[in-house]
Amino acid sequence: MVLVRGAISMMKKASVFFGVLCLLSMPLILIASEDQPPYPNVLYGQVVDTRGERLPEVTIEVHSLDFVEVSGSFCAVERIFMEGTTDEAGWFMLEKGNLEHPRTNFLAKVTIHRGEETRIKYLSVNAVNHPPIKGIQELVFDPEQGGAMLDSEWVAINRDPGLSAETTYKSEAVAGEVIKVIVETHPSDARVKLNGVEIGNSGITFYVDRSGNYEIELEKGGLSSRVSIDDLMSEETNEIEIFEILTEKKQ
Amino acid sequence: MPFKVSLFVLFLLMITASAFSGDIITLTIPQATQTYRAGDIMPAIFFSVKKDLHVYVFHVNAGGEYLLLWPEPYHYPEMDSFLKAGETNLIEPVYRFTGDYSGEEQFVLFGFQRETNRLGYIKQTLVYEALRGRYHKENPIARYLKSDDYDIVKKGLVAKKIFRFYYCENGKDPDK
Repeated sequence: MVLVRGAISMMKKASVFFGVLCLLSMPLILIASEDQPPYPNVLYGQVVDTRGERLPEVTIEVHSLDFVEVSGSFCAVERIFMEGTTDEAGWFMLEKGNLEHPRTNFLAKVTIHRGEETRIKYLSVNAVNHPPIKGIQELVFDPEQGGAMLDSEWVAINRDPGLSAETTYKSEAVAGEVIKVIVETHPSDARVKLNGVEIGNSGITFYVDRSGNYEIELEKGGLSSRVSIDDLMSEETNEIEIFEILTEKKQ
Repeated sequence: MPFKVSLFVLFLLMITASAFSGDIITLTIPQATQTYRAGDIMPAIFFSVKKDLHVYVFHVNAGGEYLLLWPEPYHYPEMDSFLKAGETNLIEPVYRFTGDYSGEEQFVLFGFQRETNRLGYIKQTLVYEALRGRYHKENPIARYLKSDDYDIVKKGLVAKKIFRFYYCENGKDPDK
């Protein structure tokens, strides 16, 4: 025999002690009733290498790459989508990062850190449903290659059911002539504007088209600074690190 | 309103009963019968805990397959299995029995002191299957307990409750 779920809602976490919990759960009920299931707040899985060895006590970060319209130019901002650490058996629990508005569509990659060692793997995922999200929950790394899955390869995660897996963001970060920019400031967590468009807070990592002209404005409290990155770009450079000390605004 | 009153009375009876028993978990099925037939509605299932526990409730069909009933993925996408001491939960009777075979079946409840990452993974996989109405082919908890990922103390299984019944697809009572 099997149980078949009826038309009415199945169950309440009915705390008889605290009926107010039912009210608190209302937003979750509304979210659950949408066609597109929300991303899970936590994601479990295991990391092993190609020999099947568990990888305990490693830090896992799932990065997302959000596209921002910056005066007609290409800009993609890298953010941590989920992060966590494996336990002694290599099992992990990833929790959502500080994304304010998780996107339906974004590019993602996974990095794994253990001490000085960093491993990167792109996600071969079309995560329409949750969970398990294929590709994240069972990560396998090749120790023969030092675990490296080459450099940051970004692939599309397309959670929009109206689009096919192929109809994803064009991975301009992979295919195009882009340059990676890392911005740190003192004091930290300053607002960052790129060509007048706010793209996040420092330290931030983003990718821009090499051929563009860009000015970065940094601001926190009464302190600010302005940096042009055109001068920093060169044929040999694929990555620019900027550390800027903010100063008082001139009146 | 009468339903709410009866719930409250039932709850009082439950906490009274559990107070005089040594059970960490109390499983109560007020409308329980020994036999269910195709088309019957699954009875409401109440369960409560005396100490903080992570709880997982399954329906086990006659084929030994498992369907996760709690944590409930429809209303609670966060899939929180944690119950505070004294808390009572209700699985509402929104499932209907169906199937073309007969045999002994169960509602099984497991209580763990902690949810390891692997147990969380198992839960998430089972929720994924439950959302699609799929049964798990084997006992996931037994497999977890046999694994060498953690020692048995860290796994922390402290309670198990079983309610057995007979499912009869053709409507005939197996005892008659």
